[in-house]
Amino acid sequence: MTSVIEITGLRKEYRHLRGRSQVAVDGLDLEVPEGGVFGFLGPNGSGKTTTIRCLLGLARPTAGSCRLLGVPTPEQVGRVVRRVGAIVETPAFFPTMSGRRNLRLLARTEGIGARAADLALERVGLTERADDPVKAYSLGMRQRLGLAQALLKDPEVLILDEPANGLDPAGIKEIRELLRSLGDEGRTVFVSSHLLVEIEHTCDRVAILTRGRCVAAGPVAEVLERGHRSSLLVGVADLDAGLAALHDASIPATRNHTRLEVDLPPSEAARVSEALGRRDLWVTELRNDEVTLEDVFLELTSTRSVPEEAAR
Amino acid sequence: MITMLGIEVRRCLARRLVRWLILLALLGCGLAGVIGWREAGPAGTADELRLVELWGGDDPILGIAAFFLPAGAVVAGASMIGAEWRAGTFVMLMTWQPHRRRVATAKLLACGVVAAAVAIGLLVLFGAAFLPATLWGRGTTAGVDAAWFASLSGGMLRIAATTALAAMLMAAIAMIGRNTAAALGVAFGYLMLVENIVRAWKPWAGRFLLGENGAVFVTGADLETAAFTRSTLTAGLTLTGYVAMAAVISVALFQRRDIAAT
Repeated sequence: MTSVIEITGLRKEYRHLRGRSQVAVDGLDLEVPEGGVFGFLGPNGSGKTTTIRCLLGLARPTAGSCRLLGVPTPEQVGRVVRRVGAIVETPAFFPTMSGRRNLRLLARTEGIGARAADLALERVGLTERADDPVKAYSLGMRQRLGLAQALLKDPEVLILDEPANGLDPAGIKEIRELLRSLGDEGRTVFVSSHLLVEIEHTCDRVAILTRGRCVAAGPVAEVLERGHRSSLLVGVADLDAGLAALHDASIPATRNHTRLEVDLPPSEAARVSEALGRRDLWVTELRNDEVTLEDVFLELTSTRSVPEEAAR
Repeated sequence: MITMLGIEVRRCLARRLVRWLILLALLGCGLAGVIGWREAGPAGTADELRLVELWGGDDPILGIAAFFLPAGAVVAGASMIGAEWRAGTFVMLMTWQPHRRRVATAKLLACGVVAAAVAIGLLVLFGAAFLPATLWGRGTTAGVDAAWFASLSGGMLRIAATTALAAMLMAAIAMIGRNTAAALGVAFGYLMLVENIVRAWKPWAGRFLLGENGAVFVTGADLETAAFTRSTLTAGLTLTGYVAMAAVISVALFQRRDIAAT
């Protein structure tokens, strides 16, 4: 599989006055294959935006290398910039110009016609407000305009830093569908986000970054398997009686507000229903306690779980 | 590069501060015309308005514009770049045009082009504001000839050039400091403190100061003091050299440093 983005040993250190320094990215290795939606996750300050900035030539890496569409960046980013659409942080436009005017001026730098700007605005649902000055736009509308400028080049690769930032739930859903459709068209969409549910439902592959290092990467299903949980959730009318029945059958279980949590793999579900049935306690619900991306994310990015060398 | 320059010129003209400054200058032109009309006595009297005084003599009327235009350019030039850093528009632009030298050069040149064009337009309007008084009974066009027009045109071009250089210098400083207020502070501190100290301490070094060179270049009159002499051409070249130096430094730093949204 061809890699669209290749990052090897990327390190970015910011040096402050008085000699202080801060490591934003620390030896990051990452490969993003061609096509589909790739989620780039990490808590605030984990180095997501810095990585994107290095990739697009906005920041120079302290060490390591980045390749975008096969060319080294930042040195030769100019060779591929026409094929890459990007949003970095909150998109900033000229406030006194209309959204349409902003896009048309950007388009002119690459010799793209005005019609493409109109189509991009239409695709993100901004046509009706396209002639209003950007200063009158809400944060969500600016975000949509940012997406429109990223789509303006009809790019092979989209690099989007928190594209759903500031959007309402309906807007987030629209963006999710848009990203998915772009990925399905064969484009590569590299999207950083902290909206884990969105990523889980939109992305084919993910990478989880913490403290400037990648702690998990791969197809979403594979990453989910890294979650340690493997248990069952059981519903019965009398939770206390059910808990006693399970303990008597030597089945490890605890109760929460509404269900029993049984520490057995899903393949042992029959043992649970049998133990409860023997006491005339009928199961009203029996399902896997599924691991979500959020569980895995929290587990991998919590301070305790970061390996010693990664934390350094 | 020409496309980039055209785009940057449009962006400069879209800035609110630039529009306000132009509007203010237009009001100033109108006010100057009204004052010229009111203060002038009837034609043929000693108080009549003489059009030749617009540019000529010891205290030309256009000298007022020679102060205000570069002053406005100082504020506008710093703001045009400083505001972009504050708003974070450089980040998005660089995802479209990653050739940093080209972007920075286009922005600095755009500041100069806009400043020069606006200055010429305003100077013409400022001069035209006095025409009603001279043409309709409150002044005279006596003395206005080809030589005067040539001198006036030269003066206007030099004022416009000074305005453009001021805008580009401040844009370059704002590009280095990435902040409008810092650029204005540096300029104010330099002109008010450094140049005055140098003038008082080492009078011969006055030949290198922006103030002296600016005054010589705008008036078109060679300066001869006890400490030094300065020709118009040398003054113009000195100013251009300073601006070019600041521009080269700012472009080099822009190429080298990381670009952040804020």
